[in-house]
Amino acid sequence: MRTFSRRGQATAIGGVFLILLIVTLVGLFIYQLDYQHRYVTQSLETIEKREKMFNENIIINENYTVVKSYTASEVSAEMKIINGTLISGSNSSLINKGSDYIKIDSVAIINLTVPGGTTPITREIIRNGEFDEDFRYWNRYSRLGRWIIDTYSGDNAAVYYTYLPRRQKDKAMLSQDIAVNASPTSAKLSFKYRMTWWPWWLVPDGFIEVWLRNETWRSRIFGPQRLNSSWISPTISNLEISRGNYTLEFRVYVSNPSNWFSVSCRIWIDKVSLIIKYEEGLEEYRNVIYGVKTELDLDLPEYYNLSYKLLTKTSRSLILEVYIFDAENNVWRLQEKFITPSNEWFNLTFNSPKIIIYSESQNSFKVFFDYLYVETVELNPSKFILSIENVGSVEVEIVACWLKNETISAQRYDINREILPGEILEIEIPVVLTKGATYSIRVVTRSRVFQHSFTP
Amino acid sequence: MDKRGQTQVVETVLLVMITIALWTVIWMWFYPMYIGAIQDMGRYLLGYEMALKEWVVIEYVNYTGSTLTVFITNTGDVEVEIGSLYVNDTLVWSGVEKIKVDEMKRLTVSDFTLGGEVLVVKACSLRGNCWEAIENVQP
Repeated sequence: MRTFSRRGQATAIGGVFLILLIVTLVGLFIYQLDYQHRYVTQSLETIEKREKMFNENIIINENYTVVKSYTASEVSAEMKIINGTLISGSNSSLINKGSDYIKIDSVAIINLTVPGGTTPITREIIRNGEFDEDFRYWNRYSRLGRWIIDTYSGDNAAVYYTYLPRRQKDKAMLSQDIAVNASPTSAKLSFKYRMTWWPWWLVPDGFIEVWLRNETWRSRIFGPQRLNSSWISPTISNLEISRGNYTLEFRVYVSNPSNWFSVSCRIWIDKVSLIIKYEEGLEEYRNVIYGVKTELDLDLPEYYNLSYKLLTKTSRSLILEVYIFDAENNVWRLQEKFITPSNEWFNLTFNSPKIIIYSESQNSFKVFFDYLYVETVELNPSKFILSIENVGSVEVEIVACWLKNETISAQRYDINREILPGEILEIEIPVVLTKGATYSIRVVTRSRVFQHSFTP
Repeated sequence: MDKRGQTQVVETVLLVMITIALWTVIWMWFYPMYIGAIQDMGRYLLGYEMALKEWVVIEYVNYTGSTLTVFITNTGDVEVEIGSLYVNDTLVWSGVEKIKVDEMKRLTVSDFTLGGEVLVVKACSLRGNCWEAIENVQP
């Protein structure tokens, strides 16, 4: 009984001891776990933060220009009239709009006179002289025979065909009405003819004559010439003919000399041509071109870009050309050419400080210049804008930026601004830049340095 | 009968007291060792965390009249102690330069002879971190 009691006590004490031990160990374990968890969490957060910083990406840009506007007097605008007459106004008229303007009258810049003269003309008067259109334009007369078209060597000819019994005579005529509408200096008639017959041994007597006549006058210009079997091609040069209407007649006569036999005849006529030469007079040609030519010079400070407008009007619609001075090649180069509206104000836009405005018309006109507005893009005289665009996927904290060039020592500007992805941060840097000098910019973020350079 | 009961109570109390005393002896021996280990581990983790939170940016390196000036900004979350500076892997400066968070300091190296225009500048902290920058320095 006593032994049993002591064993129980020992069990109880051992149990208490065990419980205390377990509680202590569990407590320590939890404490250590919590301790490590805190450090591991903080470490991971730091690593994550650094990893984000490596994804930073920015684009650096700069804007060192400023837009400035000037009046005509501020740029000493000078309008020189090269061709034209100044009616009213002066360079100061370009300062204000509407109140006063430069008015220029055109002058004759081209006075062209081409004197009249004569030119030699050669013309064929005879129509259908080859008889290719049958007897068109020709008049025919015959007693016993008839006029037909026949061919020889593939060429058409007019043929008078007649059958003559013994001791019989015949005559025929082929004529064309011609009109000479000029006063010829010379005229030349040509044709060809011949006669064929059957039976061959009975030669008929045949003659040909050519007459030229009008209503009051007639003249035999060829013949009488005996007809024979071979082609004869006479040419009557220096034919005297003047302006007027005429009739050219071919007269043929033929007779049968035989007391016993009959004979058939063919009288051929072809290639009738009457060529006249005359002088045609040309009228005198006159043309006057009126124009206005002005030169506009501006005295401008150094600029990157220039644009100015000149309010202009022309009294009639005309062609207006603008030339800009190419200093490199020392020439005026055509920049624009357009047609102006009639008597309406319009703006001429230029981008060169030295221009020529040239306008011309076949009629006299006036040009008006009213108002000159000048706009330049120049180097900002007091500062420049640094533009930082976050093109990365994480926010970027800009710490500072540095600016340096060959002549100035590096200058640091605190920024301490955070920009979100896609956001653009613009910072005014109060530095007077020098045109042509190269500047180096470095933008410091929390993790790295971005560099950029530019030359204004 | 009564004496036997008293004896049992005394024995029990005595046993409990002995148990507690033994436990106390064990605890007094174990606890400092345990706490020491925990603190060592904490210090190690803290150091590791601090090192992780260190970050500097070498913003600019200037060379004028045989003096090399390195502009360093602490962009990390803890104070940094720069202990050494290397140029092209050559130690050119050593010491302790404390840079607070978001503070910029310049480290100056006198009598520096420029070997080339491109310099690899490396700054190392006392916690063992190093940061490099490649600079095109005009003499």
